[in-house]
Amino acid sequence: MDLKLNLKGLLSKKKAKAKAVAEEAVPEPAEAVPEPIVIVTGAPVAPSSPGGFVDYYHRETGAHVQAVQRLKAFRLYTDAGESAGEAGDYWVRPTNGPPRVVKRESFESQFERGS
Amino acid sequence: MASYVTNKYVALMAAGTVVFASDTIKALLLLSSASPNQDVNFLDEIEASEVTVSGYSRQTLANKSVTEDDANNQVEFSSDNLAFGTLVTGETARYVAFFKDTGVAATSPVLAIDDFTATPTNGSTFTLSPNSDGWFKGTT
Repeated sequence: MDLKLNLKGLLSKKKAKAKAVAEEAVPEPAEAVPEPIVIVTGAPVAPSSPGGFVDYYHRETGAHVQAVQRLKAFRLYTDAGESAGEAGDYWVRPTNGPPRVVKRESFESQFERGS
Repeated sequence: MASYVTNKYVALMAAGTVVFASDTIKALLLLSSASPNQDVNFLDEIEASEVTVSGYSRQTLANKSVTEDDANNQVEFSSDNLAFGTLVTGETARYVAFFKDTGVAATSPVLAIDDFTATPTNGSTFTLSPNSDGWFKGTT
C-alpha cells in the first residue's frame, strides 16, 4: 500500500516537473520593435537629376559621405564658399563639414558606393 | 508630394533680409490636419498645428547649401537630413515647414513647406532626407 502511494507520488512529481519545463520552454511574446521612419521628400526632382543622395564609403579609410552625381552643370553656394561643377561631377555631403563639389574622376577613384 | 516656397520668403529674399546659407534656419513638423499654403507669413500662424508627441523637437538645418542649376533653370535649397528624434505613437505628421528663427514666432518668417505622405509616429526615429533637388527650389 505504501509502495503504491510512493509510486503515485513519484509519478505526480515527474508530471509536475515536465509541466514546469514545458511552461519554461514557451518563449515570451517578442515585443514589436517599430521600424525607423525615413522619408525622402522635398522639391520635385527635375527629369535630368538622379533620384537622391546615396551612401558612399572611402576605399581606404571607410569614411562615409552622402553624394549625388549631377548630370548637368551646377553651382553650389554654402557658408564655405562657392564652387562650380560640370556635368558628371558629384555634390558631396560629408558627415562633418559643408557640402562641396568633387570632380567625377577624383570622387570615383576614392569612394565606392555602399551596398 | 508637393513643395513650395512662401510668398513671404521671396519678398524677404529680394530685400536681402533672409540669407539661407548663413541665417539660422529651422524646421518643424506639422500634423496632417494642418492646411498650410503659400500665403503663410510667420511661424505663429502655423505652430498651433505642430507635432507635439513626446520625443519631438524642432531641428536646425546643418550644412545648408544653395545650388544654382542653370541646366534646369532652378535654384535648390538643401541641407543634411533632419532627425526629429524618437517620436512616440499618437500623431500623424504630413508637412515640414522651414523658417528663419529670430527667437520670436511672430517675426520668424516661414520660407517653405514640404508635403510628404501622412505618416503616423510609431515609437521609432523620424528622419527626413532631402531629395537631390533639395528641400525646396525656386524656378526661373
